[in-house]
Amino acid sequence: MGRDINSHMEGKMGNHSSRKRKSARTRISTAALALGVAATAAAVGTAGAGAAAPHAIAARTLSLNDSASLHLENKHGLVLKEGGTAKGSLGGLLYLQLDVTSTRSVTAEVQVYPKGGSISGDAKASYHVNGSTASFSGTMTITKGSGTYSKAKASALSFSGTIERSNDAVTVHVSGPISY
Amino acid sequence: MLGVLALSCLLVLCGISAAAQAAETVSLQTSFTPEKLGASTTIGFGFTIGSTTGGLPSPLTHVSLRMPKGMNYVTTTLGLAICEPEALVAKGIEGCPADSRLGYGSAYVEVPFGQGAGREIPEIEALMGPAHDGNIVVLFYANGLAPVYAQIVFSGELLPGEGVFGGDLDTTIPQIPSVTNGPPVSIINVKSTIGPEHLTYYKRVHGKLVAYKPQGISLPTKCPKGGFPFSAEFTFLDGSQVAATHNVPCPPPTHRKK
Repeated sequence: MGRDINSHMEGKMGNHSSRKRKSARTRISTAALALGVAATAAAVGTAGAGAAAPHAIAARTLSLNDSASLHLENKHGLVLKEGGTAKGSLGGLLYLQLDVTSTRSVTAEVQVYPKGGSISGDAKASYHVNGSTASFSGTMTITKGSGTYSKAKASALSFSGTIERSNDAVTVHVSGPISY
Repeated sequence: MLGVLALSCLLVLCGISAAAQAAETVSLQTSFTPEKLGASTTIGFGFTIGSTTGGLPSPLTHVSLRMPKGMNYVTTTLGLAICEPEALVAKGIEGCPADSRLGYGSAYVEVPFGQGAGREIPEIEALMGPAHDGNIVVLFYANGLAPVYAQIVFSGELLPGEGVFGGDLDTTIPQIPSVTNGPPVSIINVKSTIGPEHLTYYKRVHGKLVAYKPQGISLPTKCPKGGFPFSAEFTFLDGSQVAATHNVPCPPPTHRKK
């Protein structure tokens, strides 16, 4: 590329002395080199910018609003393991592990498997019993994801639900903004 | 005149001195039936109140019963229905659904006059009341017979426990009048249960009412060293407080059949 530019420039400088011509050639070569480097750098820069695009572009966001009716799969001590299908903005199989930490509080681990990946989260909630129904209400944080949701992030998602005490059937509702 | 005054003062001082020396004593008894780790159980608790002077103890006003950590107070199916206190007061135990019953017991009280004036309150029922501030509420219904004709409703609130305790049943005891406008009786002994033993619940299956035994509070899967700790603090009308503890020993290890 530099050579082509030199020959083009040499023709225009035909009236200059050889020393000057040499000097000019050096300058032109330097300029051409600089231009080439600049062009290369620009090309590399463009390519680099292209490769870095997922970082530079704002992450996708989703207003999560999913509910699920779950059935008891396993009960061990103070831990209820529930499973079912979530419906809403994500959807997919949902597994919930509720750990009754005191008479007034529960912690939960949630895994949901929407199309193309998975999302896991931890939740803390207060717990109230009133007759045949118990309810919980608190917040959930996304801890990890996979596939499409490998970069999923969210904290302070709303996390609430009920437990039918006669059969430990659970309804759960999660909502709030997530990015991925 | 001076002699009468001096005698009065002496009597008063003697009275104060006797009152100052008298103190309540309490022994706490607790049990699990059955006592099988990880399984549903019925908690039995009882206490006996005495006085260091041998006289009547001051009437009880408050009991805080702390129960062991790790017990599953929440996933039990006890108390699937709620007993409304107003209905309990108006109609007695018949005013509340069977599925609100949590346990039962009895008490022994003494009236502050006469010799050997102790009477049993043969019927104490524990029922699930409406939650208060998100806490489980246990209603107690005491049905007194002669000479203490009184149907008394009082409540305990299951508060979160601290340390080695998972729950605290905090109960305020009303004063039970010995006679109309008379001094309150002294509670000498109380026994009660919280659990499915002798309880029957009902559910509809294909339109028919079917009886079943509810799931009780479950014991932890591991027994803490030294047994399951219970602790109670008793407050009396004279302002004194007495603490008592009792541990339910760990069950013997079960051996697997080869």
